[in-house]
This record gives sequence, C-alpha cells and structure tokens, in this order.
Amino acid sequence: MKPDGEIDSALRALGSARPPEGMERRIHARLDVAPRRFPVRYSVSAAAIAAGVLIFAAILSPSNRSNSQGEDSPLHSAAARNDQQPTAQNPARDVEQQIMARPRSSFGTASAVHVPDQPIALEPAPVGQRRGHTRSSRTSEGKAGNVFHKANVTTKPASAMSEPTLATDARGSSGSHP
Amino acid sequence: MGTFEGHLAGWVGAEHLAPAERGVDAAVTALVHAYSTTIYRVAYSVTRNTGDAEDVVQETFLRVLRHQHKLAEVRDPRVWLVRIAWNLVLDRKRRSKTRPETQDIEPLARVLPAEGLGADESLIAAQGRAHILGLIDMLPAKERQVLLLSAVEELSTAEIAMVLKTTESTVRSRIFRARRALQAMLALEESAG
Repeated sequence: MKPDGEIDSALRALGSARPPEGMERRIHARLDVAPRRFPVRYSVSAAAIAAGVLIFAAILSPSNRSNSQGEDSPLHSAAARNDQQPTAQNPARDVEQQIMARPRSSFGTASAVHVPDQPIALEPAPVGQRRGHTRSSRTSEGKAGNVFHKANVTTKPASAMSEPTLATDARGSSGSHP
Repeated sequence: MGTFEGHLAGWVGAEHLAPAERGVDAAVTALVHAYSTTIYRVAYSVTRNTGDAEDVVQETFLRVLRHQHKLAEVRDPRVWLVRIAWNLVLDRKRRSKTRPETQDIEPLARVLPAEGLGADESLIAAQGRAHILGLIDMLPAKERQVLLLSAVEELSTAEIAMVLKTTESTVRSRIFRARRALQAMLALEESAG
C-alpha cells in the first residue's frame, strides 16, 4: 500500500471509531445522578456573607453611631427626659429648654452643640490675682528698664528744628539770586 | 432557524414532548443522542482508550448540564461540544502524562472498524494503523492535533478552525505539513527497512 493510502486508512479508521455498547444509556444515568442546582453550601455561605455585610453596614452607619454617642451624654439624656415629661410637672424645664434638641436624623456629634436662644450673661472675671505676669505688669516693667523708651530719648527743641529753614531763607536772600 | 431552539425542535420533535420535558432535560437528551458518538471519536483519537474516551464524553455532558443557562446562546452545538471535549481531553492527557496506547493492537482492532476483512486481515490492518498512529504521535503538537481532528469524519475544516480558535487556512496548511511529515517518515522507514 502507498504511504498516502496507509495514512488515509489509519485516519479514517481512527475517525470512525465505534463507541462502546450502552454508552448513551450510561451518560443519561450519570446525568441523572449529577447535582443540577446551585449547591446548598454555596447558598448558605453566600447568605452568611450577605448577612455579615448588612450587620457591619448597620453598625458603622453614621446615624447609628451618632445615636449611640448621644444617648451616653448627659445633655442628650436630660433633653430626652424633658421631651417625655409634661411641662407642668417639670419646672426645671425652663432652664434646659434653651438646649436645642438634636434632630434624630442628624449627622455625627456636630449637631449635639446646643445654641441658647438668648445671650447668656457672663460673670466678671477675677483680676489682680498676681498669678504669672499679666500684660499690664509687663508693660510697666518694660517702661522702667528700656533704654529706648520715650522718657530717655532727648528731644530737640522746636527752635532747633526750624533753623535750617531760616538758613536757607538767609542764603536765598543773600547770594543765590543776583 | 440557525439557533439552538431550531436544532432542538428538529432533533427531538418538540411537539411530542410534555411541557415539563421541553426545557433543559430535553435539550441535553437531544445533545447526547446527536453528538455523543462524535465526541467519543474526538476523545478516542487522543486517548486511544475506550474507558477514558467514554469518561470524557460523560464529563462533557456534565459540563453542559452545569452551564445549561448558556444553551440558548449556542449557535453551533457540535462545535461547542467538541470544543468542551477537546479541552477536557487535552487537560486529561496533560495530567496523566502518558502516551496513547497505540501498542495494544487487539483493542485497536476491536474499536477501529475494518469492514470486509477477516479476523487475520483485520489484525494485520490494525497493526499497520497502530504503526501510523505511533508516527502521528511523534508529530509536533499543533500539527498532530489538527490531523487528529481532521480524522473525525463529522468535522469540516471550518469547524476544526472554530474548535482550535484559528483560521481555516492555518488548519489546511497544518494538515498539509503533517501529512508530508508522515509520508517522509514512512519513506525513511521503507528505505531503511
């Protein structure tokens, strides 16, 4: 046989190999056994991951954080208590009414700053306690020791300041103009 | 009607199926019936082992079952299935690192058809084929793969190109080079012997 004929014969035989008996039936049997749907453990793990993400998102959300911080502070609790109690039963409410209640949907602790409705009168601050050096005492000491202070500088009399003017006038009148 | 639904209606006769059977099960059944032999031949051309080739066929349809949501997008089921089987068989061969069993003449004589030949002649023919297949295994990988796929009678050059993701002209030139190399090897053996 020629080489080409041998090659063709071998390739033709290889390409028309007979499948074993009952192969199709065995394939169907294996396909029936095989799991068809998404495995349960994948579903459970995906649900667990999703639940974890939701919990972290709920914990870390700004509104929840501000709520938890606000409930700890005494101002918030006092305001909350006053909101819950009627006005007639709580005369101290007039004092605390000036504290603005923080909105529920506010962001962070910045909204916890309370702004009074009316200006608050300040008490006079104590002075002359001689604690440390006050600004006034430092200036008085400086006046005494500073050599460049106004008191040590000799000032010229007004007559000396006006002298050149007079000399110019004299020169101008004597020889500059013929 | 070049889509998968068109092919499916032709294969199984969708009007005879119950509504529940017209889904994925019917599609896979039709694919098994139509292409299991072709896939077996593709797998056998590489493995030369009936058990391994059947395993590849089963694994191919298991993959189909796992990716059943893609069935509607498949335009050419034969190319799609052959590509799956081809990748599986190459992967299996890479892992096993064994050469095909071309030295076993009797299984080869049993599997490869030899019409019109007696038992002795069939065995001699199988011996000659085993020798040729041994020479094919010595070819470079790309040329060997194209030659083995071209041996599968159901596959055209265009389909081989699609399976291997190359052009038809490349497939033709590789087949030509592979055959020329085989002829040279046979001529060398004849001159030496």
